[in-house]
This record gives sequence, structure tokens and C-alpha cells, in this order.
Amino acid sequence: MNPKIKLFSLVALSSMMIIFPEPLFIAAAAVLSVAFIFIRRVHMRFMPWLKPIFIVFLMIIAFQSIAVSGLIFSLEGAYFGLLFSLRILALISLVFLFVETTPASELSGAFSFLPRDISQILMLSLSMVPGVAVLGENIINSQKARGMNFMNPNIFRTYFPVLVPLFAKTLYRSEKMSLAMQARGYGSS
Amino acid sequence: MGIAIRNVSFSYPGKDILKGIDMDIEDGDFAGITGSTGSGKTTLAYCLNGLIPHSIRGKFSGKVHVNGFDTTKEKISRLSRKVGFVFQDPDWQIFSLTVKDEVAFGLKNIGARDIDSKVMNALIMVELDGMEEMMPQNLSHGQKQKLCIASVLAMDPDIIVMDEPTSQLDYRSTMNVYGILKKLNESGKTIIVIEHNTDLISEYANRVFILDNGTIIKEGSPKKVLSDRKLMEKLGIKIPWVYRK
Repeated sequence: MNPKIKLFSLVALSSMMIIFPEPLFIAAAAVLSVAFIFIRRVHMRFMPWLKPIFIVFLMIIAFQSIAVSGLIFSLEGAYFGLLFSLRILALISLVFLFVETTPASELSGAFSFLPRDISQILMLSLSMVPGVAVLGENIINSQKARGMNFMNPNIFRTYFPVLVPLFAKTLYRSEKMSLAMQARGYGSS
Repeated sequence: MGIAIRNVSFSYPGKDILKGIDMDIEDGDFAGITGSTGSGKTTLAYCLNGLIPHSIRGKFSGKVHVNGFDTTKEKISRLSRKVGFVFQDPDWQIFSLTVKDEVAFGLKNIGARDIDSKVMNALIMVELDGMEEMMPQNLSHGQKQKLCIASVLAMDPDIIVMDEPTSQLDYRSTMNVYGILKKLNESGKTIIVIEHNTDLISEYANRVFILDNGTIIKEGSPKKVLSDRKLMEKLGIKIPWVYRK
């Protein structure tokens, strides 16, 4: 499929999910986008992301279920949390599907109709994803090598030592990238 | 013309990095800058293409002239046509989705013509032709370093500055990168390399500068500078094999 049509469909579907929060539509979008990941056989790369995604979803549902009726558990809140999580799942799956099924050369072509600064921001974000993933993996491995227990039920204790250095290093890297972009004339045209 | 640095000092709050640096590099030189970690080598290199004082905050004083341009007054984007800068870590400076786009990035910024042919020529020079459509993240570390060199070469700058280009490379890739730099130098480009490996400097450079604690403490030919056993031992810099007896 033409990458521009793919990109347009991605933006249109994502916008519809935000503008029309119909539960049936969101649930169908989430199920279909995950199903397409399996149909296109790119699920092996998607599976490792499922665990952290579901942990975040559980946190959202738990927070929503007590937040809606003033720190008392409510089914209505849990339902909102579930709906919100499904929407995020659908969005993540759609973006993943788009990135995984579009070769890099076509991906840059897909953004070519956008103003240069915007297409550059999108390409930069996408090109940083593999690097950040590797960085995260390295931090997890080095924390494990120093005796960190990732089975600890306290998720704050488990993920803080990973997220803090990941965030700091990503910021440092972004700063260096901006210097490198300037050194190659970015901002002159 | 070349590069003339006069009484350059730079400091972050509470820390002096460069202290009154004076330095001259002629057109066509292959200069090596060495010194222990934290001596100010990278900061000095940032002064050459205007990143200091324009983008990196700190207290700057002195003058840096590159091919007649005052780097304190010129925009970095304009200086980028004169000075190509290859950073230490290739992952910091690769921000496109394909090899071809990465090399074309700088050319688009300066509004160059014939971008495709310039990209191809640069890739041929670093022997990455045939990989145009690949994702840079899938290249080996050595190939990424070559890609960074190609990205700079495509812009055809007169001066190429490389910050520890081989710090993460194996022997073969190191020789490969230095082979490219040698060819570029022979074609008339001025090469400035920040390098810890004094064997490489003694083999390729014609001028060497040793930085220590923000000042240049010795400069001259590789033999004159790097064979000073007393100084090398004092600074903890390795004496090149050719000067050991």
C-alpha cells in the first residue's frame, strides 16, 4: 500500500478514536489492530512490549476506579479506565503496524508532503526508537547484573532505577543530537 | 587562511575548561590533538565550528578565525559549510531513517543542488555505496562512523574535525577510517583529529598539540612532541612505538 495512504489512514483512525469515544468502536479498533499485527506476522516483535503495556493499563484502571468517586472503588471508574486503556492499545498497535510494515525508505517518503521541520521531527522520533529500546535493554541488564530483582511486586521500586537513567540518557542524547544537527547546517534554510 | 585561535578561554560556572589557548593550523594540515581525559580537547573542537559560543552555554572569551570567518560572529549554519564536524559517538549524529537521507540531510540544509549525485559520491568515498536504502541503525559501528564521515564529506567542507573517531572501533575499521582521512588530506582538506591513540597520530599527523588542564603545553611535529618521554610519562600519555628505544 502507498505509505502516504497508510499514514493518512493511521491519522484518520487515531483521530476518530479520540473524537468519537464509542466503546464498541474503540474495542473493535483495538481488537482489529492487534489482529492485523498477527496477520502481518510482526507479532514476535510486538510481544515483548505487551507486559509493560499491560502493567501501565492495570495502573490506569486501578487509578480510574478509585478516582472517579472520590477514593472509593467504583465500577464506573474501572470501566472508564478499561476504555482508556483500550484506546491506548489501539493507538500503539496502529503505530506499530504502520512502522513495522513500511520499509524505512518508504517511511521517509510518507512524510515528504509535510513541511520539512515537521517531517524532520517525525523522522527523528522514529529513528530514535531503536536506540532508546537498546538503551533501555542495556540499563535493565546492567541493573540485573548488580542484583536488581525485576520480579519485585513493588513496580515503583522495580522500574524507577530503569526509567530515571533511561530518561536522563535520552535527554543527554537529544541534546547531543541537536548539536550535531546544527553542526550540519540545520536552521540555515 | 587556515585556523587561528587567539587567547581563547571557556568556562562553565565554577569550572575553567580552556585557559588562554593560542593555536594556528595551516590549510592542508593533518593536525592531531591529544591529552588526558578532561583536558579540554572536545571543548576546543566545539570552538572551531561555532557550537561554542553560540549553542553551548558558558563564559567564552578570545577569537577563533576559520578561513577568515570569525566564528563568534558567524552563524553555525554558515560555518557548517566550512567546517565539518564528526562527533565521538555516531549514534548522536544519525537522525534519518535511511543512509541516503542521512547523507542528504546537511545538503538540504544548505540548499545544495545535485543532492543525489553528491550523496552517491560521498558514499562511494567511504565504501558504503549499495547501502543507500538501509536503516542507519542496522549498520555496524564502523559503518555508522563511515556514514557520519560521508554526511560531512557530502557538504564538501575545507576543514574536517573528528572527535575521537576510532574510540569504539576495531583495528580494521580504525585503519579504514584513517585511510579515508589520509586520502582527504592528500586531496587538500585540512584534517583535525582528537585522538588518544598516539601511534595513529605519529603515523598520520604532521602537527601535534598536547592539551593539559585547558592549556596547550606542547606543539610541533609528531617527533618533537611525542618523543618527549618525560612529558609523556608525566601526563600519562602513551609514547608511540616508533619513538620508543
